[in-house]
Order: sequence, then structure tokens, then C-alpha cells
Amino acid sequence: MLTLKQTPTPHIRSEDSVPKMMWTEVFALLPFVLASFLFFGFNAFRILVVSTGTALLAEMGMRKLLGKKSTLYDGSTVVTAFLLALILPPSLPSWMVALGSLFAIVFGKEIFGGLGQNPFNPTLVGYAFLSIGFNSLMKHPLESTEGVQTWVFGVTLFLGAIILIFKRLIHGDVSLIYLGTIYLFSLALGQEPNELTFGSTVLLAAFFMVTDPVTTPVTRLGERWFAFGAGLLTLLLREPTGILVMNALTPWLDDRLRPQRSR
Amino acid sequence: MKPIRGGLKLDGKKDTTAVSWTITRPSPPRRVRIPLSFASDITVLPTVRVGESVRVGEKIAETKSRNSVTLHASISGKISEIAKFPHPLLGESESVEILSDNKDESLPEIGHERSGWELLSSSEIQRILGESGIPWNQPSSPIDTLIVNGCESEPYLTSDHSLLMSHPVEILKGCEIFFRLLGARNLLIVLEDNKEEVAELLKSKIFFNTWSHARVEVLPSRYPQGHETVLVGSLLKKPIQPGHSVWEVGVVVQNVTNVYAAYEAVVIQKPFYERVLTIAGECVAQPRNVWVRIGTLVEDVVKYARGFLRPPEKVVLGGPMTGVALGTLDIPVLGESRAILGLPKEVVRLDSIEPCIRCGRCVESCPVSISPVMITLAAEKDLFEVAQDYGAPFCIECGNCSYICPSKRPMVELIQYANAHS
Ligand code: SF4
Ligand code: SF4
Repeated sequence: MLTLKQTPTPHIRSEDSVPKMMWTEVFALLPFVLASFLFFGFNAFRILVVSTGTALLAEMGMRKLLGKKSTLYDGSTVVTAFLLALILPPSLPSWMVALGSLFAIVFGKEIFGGLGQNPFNPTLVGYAFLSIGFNSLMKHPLESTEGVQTWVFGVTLFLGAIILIFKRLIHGDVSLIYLGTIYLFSLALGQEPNELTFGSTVLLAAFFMVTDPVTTPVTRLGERWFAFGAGLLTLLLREPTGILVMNALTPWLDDRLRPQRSR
Repeated sequence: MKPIRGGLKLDGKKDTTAVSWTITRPSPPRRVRIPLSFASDITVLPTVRVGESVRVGEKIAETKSRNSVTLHASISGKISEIAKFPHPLLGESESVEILSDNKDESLPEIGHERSGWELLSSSEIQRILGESGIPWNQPSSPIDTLIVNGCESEPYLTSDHSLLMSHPVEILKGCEIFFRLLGARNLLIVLEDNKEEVAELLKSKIFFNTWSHARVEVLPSRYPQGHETVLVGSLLKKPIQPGHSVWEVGVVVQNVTNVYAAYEAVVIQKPFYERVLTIAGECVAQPRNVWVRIGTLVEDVVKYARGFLRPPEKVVLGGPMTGVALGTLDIPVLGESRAILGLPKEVVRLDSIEPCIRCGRCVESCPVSISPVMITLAAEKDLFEVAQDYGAPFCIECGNCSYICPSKRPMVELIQYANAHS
């Protein structure tokens, strides 16, 4: 006797899933992770491990505390932890990394109900917390680095971007608008554009934060305006925390820039 | 030609049944069950009694409403029961069961050319279609363009394709019949670009017939191109509002099966009692296109394809995007059933539902430019007005948003829920 499932239409589903998307993001970050090991040695490794370990524990603890099912498998926590580790200065003490990571997961994500519900980019929430609380210890992450290192970082990040675009996880035009805005407005203001635009933190933001599904608008038009605004704010603050302001504006953008027949 | 807005490029999976254009004609089944209900509110009355003998093509039920509907015996034999039986769409329906006498004897006139069919008037054609059981609603407004829809944009389906390849001349005659019936001025045959050879074939026939009113249009394959409102919207740049018919913009859309059935009814006097059906899906042993008598039970059709290789997770009557998942195989094939699909677990993918990650993929895939994500999030909170604001009533239930959602959210269901409450 056959037992047949009778669920509503459609009867076929795409092969994509949230865990698949998130682990692909982790994978796309790996070239840059390796490059950071190469240039910053043990410190980069230390920060990555502390950040990831803390984030996983924080997520597990929060979920237990709230009596919700574990979502560690979905990979989003690892994405947040990796991104945070990669924008922190390599000399930062471990306890600060842990604090930032804890803050990112608890106050950046879980307090709102977990993945999908968080209005702000958790990585940037953790980063902003450290910047505000411990300004003196946070060396500016965008400090100029010369020659080979800039190149290697740039190339590994573009490699990650190609993976993401190829896997259709991000829209290349959105990253381009973000970077283009920073570049062109720098020029217009008579500043040297390359240093900011192609610094590793801004590139990370361009490919992994401005394109984050959760905290950006749902329509393509909205995403583009988001990227434009985020570009201007990044230029103004000379670091990508300005994206948080655009995160706050996302519900408004979603309301204004609806698909054609949604009124 | 510009493709439709949104939509999805789905894996067609048509090669298993599109390898040859022969449509197998298996021997008729031992038993058929022909449902008497078409929708919850349209039921026809039997004109036969239990115990009576019928031949293939003989009328077994009719209504006398404005759009008359008739049903015909699809096998020859004895009426064994008239009772409630399972129905794929309605749960159950009063049905006529016929047990075969294995003679497959049909009405004598079937297969003989109707003399003077070229000269029939519009109302005579209309009468013949009604008497032959071909679904037809005479439009209430003047019609300018007849679109014959050969898109078949859902995966797996190739029944129209095989019919077009094997019977192009008959189908053009069918087009001509509808054209005359409607008094239309343009005939547009629409195909997707996976049927280039059909397009060439039809174009050459049209050229030899010197039909200046007819045109073949090839569109890029993209689901749901074949949906009536999407097709008319993108072809003629005429948006159709919810609750309105394409008639209002002077268009009638007919599918290939109906056009072929019209040819058979009008020219060779054969009522609509059998159709071409695709039996396919990863679980099916020998996927193919077959002529199936209406009322054949799904379990018997599956045997035409040598059964299942492995137990399917779902058996679908119709296309994979819009068909209905069956709970039992003891259910009859209807006139509108285009396919029977045996789908395995890895294709059905009933994964666990995750929260929305606001990725916007559903928005990009929606062919009617509404916001599936906002509608479904609102529906979950019973905010029906918000759902309506974001365009819920425009939804054509194509299934794209559910298909593409990485969180596997039950989008179509939620949208239906919202629409049921507004
Ligand atoms: S596709 Fe699914 S996860 Fe993405 S925005 Fe739409 S509903 Fe949300
Ligand atoms: S099912 Fe409705 S909302 Fe979803 S993509 Fe199709 S038309 Fe749009």
C-alpha cells in the first residue's frame, strides 16, 4: 500500500535552503579568512576561534533559555561570528572579542526572535557596541595597509563575491552601487577614493552586509536605494557602521518601494 | 519577444517523455468512472440507467443550461453503478461507472468525416461542441484575437507538445473551427522556445494555407508563461484585473487539447471521451504520453507506464506546480487532467519550515508583481487588510513563491488563507 503525501501546491521545491545559503556564505569567506591568517598570523586565528565559539555558545544558551529549538545548524551564527572576527583589529584582546560576539548574538539577533526577525545586522551591532564602549582599544579597522596585503585581501574578497554571485546569493548590482557611491562621492569631495573603497572592511560590507537578506529591503529597487544610502553613510563615518542607520530605514523603504501591484 | 515579468526558469525535465512523439494507445481499461460534477455547483444528470449497455461515444449525461455540458461513455460495456465515488478535486462526486465488455465498440459515425463541416455556422459549431462534451463558454463580448496556448510551461508536461508534433494539420483545423466560432480577426499560436520544431512545422503549414490572419509566436520558456492572464498580459500588454475575464479585452485563450478535441468533434464526429496525458516523474518506470479514456482510474494509467520503480512520495494529477496531490490511486482521470506524476522525496522536498529571511526571492519570482513576502507575513498575523494592500487578490496561485522560498514557507496556502478572509 502506498502512503502518499497530500500537501498543497506546488509539488516541487527548489533545492535552496536557509542552511545551504548560510554555509555557502561561510565558504565564500574562507579565502579571506586564510589571507588574514597569512598576514596576521595567530592573532587572526585566535580572534576567529573566540568569536565563533562565543557566538555558538551564546546562541545555544539564549535558545535554551527561551525554550526554542536549536538553530545552530542553519549557519547564520557562524556567518555573524566570522564577519565580526574579520572586521576587528587583530590585536584586540580575547575578552573583548568574546564580549562583542556575545552582544552581536544576544542583542543583535536573538532578542528579536532569531534569524529573520532582527532589524539590524548582528555583526555591526556587536562591532558598534565595542566601538562605543571601548573606543580607545579599537584601533581603526580601516587604517591604511600598504601594497601586497591590500591586494591579497581585495582579491580574496572579490573571489568570495564571485562565489556568492554565482550561487545567486547576492545581487552584484547592489554591491556595485554601494562601492560606486563611496568611490564617486569621494572623488567629488576631492578625497583619495581607493583607500576607503577597496579597504577590506568596506569590501566585506559590500559583499556580505549591504547584501544581507534579513536586514535589507525585499525589493530590488529598495536594495539599490539601501546600498546608495549605506554608501553615503560609510563615506561620512569612514566605516561601515552607517549601514545600521539604513537597517533602521529598511521598513520605511519596504513600505515606499513596493512591487508594482502592491499598494 | 520580451519574456514575462518575474517568473522562473524551471528545470523542464521533459526529455524522458519528449524522446519520441508517438503517443501510445493502450487497450481500454476494464472499468471507468466518469464523475458527473465539474465544480461544487455544476452537476450533470445521467441519461442512462444501471444495467444499460453503452457504446463508446454514447451520451451518458447532460445538462440543459446555457453552456450545455454533456458526458460520453469512454468504453463500451454496461453501466454498473451510479453512485458517489472519490473525485480528485471535489473529494467525492456522483459518478457513472462502466464495466467493459472488451469489445470497444463505438458509435458508427465516429471517425467518418462530417460532410460540409467547412461551411458550418458559428451557432452550429457551438452546438456540436456542447453535444461533444468539449468545455466551452461562449464569450459575452466581441472577440478580436484567438490565442492557442501551446506553452506548456510546467515541468514534465509534454502532452501538448506531442499532440502538436504528431497532429499539426488537425490542430490547425481545430484552430480554424474556433476562429470561425468566435468570428475573431487574429489567430495567435503561442509556443515556448523548447518547441522550435513545432513552430517551424506550423509556420510552414500556415504559409501553405496562405493564412494571413494567423501567426506563430515563440516565447522564451519561463514558468508561468502559459497562465492565461500572464500570457495575455505579456503578449498583448493588456493587464487583467482580478475577477475579470480576458474576454473583456477581446481575447479567448484555448489550449491545444481543446483545439484538437474540437477538430475531432466537428470533423470526424468524435465526442471528447479520451485525451493525451503525460505520465512521468522520477518514480515512473517508463514515462510516456498516452491516450487515456476519461474516467480511467489512476492506478490503471500507472500500469500503462509499467508502474512505479520506487514508491513515490507524491502522486500528482496535473502539473507539478498547479496539480493536485492524490491520496489514493483509486481516482478517475478527468477531461482536464494533463498528467500523472510520480514524484520522489528529493523532488517534493517537504523540508521543515524556517522563518522568513526576507531574501526577496519570492518578490522577484512573482509574475503579477505583488509582494508574496509581505502578504504571507501579514496572513500569519491575521492582518488581512495589509495582505490585500500588498496585492493578495492579484495572486494567480502559480506557486513560484513557494517553489523558490529557501525557508520552504507555505506561501500559496497563506495567500489563499488571506484571500479567503477579505
Ligand atoms: S522567499 Fe521566503 S524567505 Fe525569502 S523573502 Fe520570500 S518568504 Fe521570505
Ligand atoms: S503564487 Fe501568487 S504570489 Fe506567489 S508567485 Fe505566484 S502569483 Fe505571485
